[in-house]
Amino acid sequence: MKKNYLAIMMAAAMALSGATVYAGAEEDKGYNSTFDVASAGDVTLDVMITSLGDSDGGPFLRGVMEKYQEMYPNVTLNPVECSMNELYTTLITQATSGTLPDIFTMSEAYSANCLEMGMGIDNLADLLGEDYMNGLLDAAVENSTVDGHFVYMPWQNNTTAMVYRKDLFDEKGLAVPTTWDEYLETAKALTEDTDGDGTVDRYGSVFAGTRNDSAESRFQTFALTFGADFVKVNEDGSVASGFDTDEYKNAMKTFIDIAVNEGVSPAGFVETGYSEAYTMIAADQAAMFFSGSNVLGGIYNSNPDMRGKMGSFPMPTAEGVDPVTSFSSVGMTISNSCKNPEVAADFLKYLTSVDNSIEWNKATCRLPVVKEAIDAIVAEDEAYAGFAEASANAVIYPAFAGLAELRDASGECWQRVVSEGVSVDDALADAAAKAEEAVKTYSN
Amino acid sequence: MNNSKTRLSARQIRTKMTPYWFIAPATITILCLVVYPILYGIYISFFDTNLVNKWKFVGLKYYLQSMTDASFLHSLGKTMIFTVCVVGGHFIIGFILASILNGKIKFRTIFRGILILPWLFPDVVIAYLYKWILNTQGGILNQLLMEMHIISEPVGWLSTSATAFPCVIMVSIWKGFPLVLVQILAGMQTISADLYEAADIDGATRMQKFRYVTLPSLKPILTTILILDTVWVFKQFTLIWLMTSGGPGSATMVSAIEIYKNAFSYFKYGYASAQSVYILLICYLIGVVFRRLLRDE
Repeated sequence: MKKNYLAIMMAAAMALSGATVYAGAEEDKGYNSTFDVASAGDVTLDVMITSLGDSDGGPFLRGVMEKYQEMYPNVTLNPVECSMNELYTTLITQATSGTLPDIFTMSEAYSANCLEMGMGIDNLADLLGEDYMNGLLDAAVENSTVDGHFVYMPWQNNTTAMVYRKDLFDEKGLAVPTTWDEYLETAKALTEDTDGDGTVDRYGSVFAGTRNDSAESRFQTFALTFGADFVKVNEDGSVASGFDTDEYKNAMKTFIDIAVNEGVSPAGFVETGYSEAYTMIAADQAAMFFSGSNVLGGIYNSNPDMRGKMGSFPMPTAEGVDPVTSFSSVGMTISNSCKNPEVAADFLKYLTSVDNSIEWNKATCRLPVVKEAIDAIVAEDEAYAGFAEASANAVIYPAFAGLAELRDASGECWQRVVSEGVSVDDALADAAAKAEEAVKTYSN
Repeated sequence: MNNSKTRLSARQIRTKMTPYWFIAPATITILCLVVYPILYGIYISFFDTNLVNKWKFVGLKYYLQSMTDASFLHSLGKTMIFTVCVVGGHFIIGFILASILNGKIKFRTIFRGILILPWLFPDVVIAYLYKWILNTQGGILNQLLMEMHIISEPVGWLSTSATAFPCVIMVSIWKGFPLVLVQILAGMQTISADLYEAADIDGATRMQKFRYVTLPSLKPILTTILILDTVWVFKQFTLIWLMTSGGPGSATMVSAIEIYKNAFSYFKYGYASAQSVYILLICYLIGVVFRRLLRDE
């Protein structure tokens, strides 16, 4: 995965340009404010953040918006609900009709399209300011940047790691696995018939196998731990599919083996999505699952007794592959039609202040991208330690518009093997042909 | 004289215009909500576009590409099978139950109320209901079959190709048969008892009465329901998307899901529009063919 130094260059450029600092605001307001919002006159902003509709994140967000309006009575924030599943179709509709909200959710999956369509403002990094940008994870800044443009302000840190039942590991004296071979052995040790009725009722592992982006993007991370990239960027800048490599094939075979053939995962793999998987962990039916940190929120909400029993560790890898995981983020950007982008940027900085980031984590179990907040969260709750450790080796995927299609080809591949009885080699060959065709289409 | 002619002419014009004013609201509504979207969809199909600021004309490229796209052709095949099975199921069950309810049975009103329930539930509710019932882990169907010792381990009803498609078909039949039932029952109740009496006098059997009295009398209703039901089922999206998302593999990948994925997962709006135009043509042809086949002599 490429590592660019865009964040450093951006910081240097902003230092040279000399961003205006609203002196004294930080002390007064508890966040890095660089704009005199109180003197901005009457301002109304439509805020479309997907978490507004969530049962855990929604109330928190509305609370933050109310506090901001109390702080600045001249500002009115209108919450606009939109689910993550509907986000991109909603944005397309709003962009075509010229009704984009002032602030809206954005992620790396759509950031290239957002830039291409000119949905966001050009100077987001300048508005946020150098001090603020320096407080963010480098991977997050890189992840939000497309072709040198800082497209959106990252907020939710989706570093992938393995969550596990720490209490069971301690009880059985199991060590945290670092390779997939060790993982399989650990999963076997955890798979058991706990009530002695002759049927296994707790499995060591559970993988998501539904044919949707949630499961398919997880597999992309899994493949990464085998050294397989979905997309290879050649030296001349051209893009090629990585589906025909031995690394990808090994990843797919191991994925299917663990999920279906080794007896360490529950039945119904292709029906098991993210929510089914964490529900099994919460119900004591499975012991390990890889995901972003928000899965802990799902587990705790389903079964509060799991608090204190969960832990996390970095993704195991195949033999000979260095520790690695994927990083992605969801954040917000400011629309190019926003009449008060400075106020919008100020609100975003308030929303993602260290204190608010910590509160956000308490409400949703999501990790933020503000470095100081991450340190405070990990110090308070050991369950996040694995995510923090994994983020040291987190990489981002190249911005490629056809990624969703490649992911879907992977999903179709394992589903055909499991549900249609197609051989792994045949399914892999078909997936490779499909991926090559997709890459060709998007490269034209 | 000239003024009188002009006034008369203006009055005539107003008189002639009156019907147009009456149909104007409906016409404008149809133009805005039906004709314009269809024409815009056709327009998009000639472009490689993001719908905002990228409009690259590609001519008929996407139409030709669709015709050789194995996934799209596969989805069309699945859609045909799905449509035939579901519409067939609706009519068979609808006819049987309508015939029973048309007789003099006890609690007929209660049965009518109960039988129409599946149609009243939203697709989303039905989809999730059956997804849970058929779930491999903890689904009530597997639990029941295991307790009755019919199966020894859970069956992946929606996770195996062999069973997922039939399951989706059965749920779609269950969801949609009440509409056909109601229409057929309404039609049956309008058939004059004299016709059946005449048939009895002629010594017609039960099957002959059905073949020569019931069916011809219901033909206008059947034609309408057949066309509507076929087109509705052909476009089915919600139930399948929520139950299987087109999987496992591509076992339930009907064309509506294929098109949706191309448009809103892969952002290939032009390509998806071209595929939609094919579906539009197919639905139109279905209507034409059925009307011709079932035309009243």
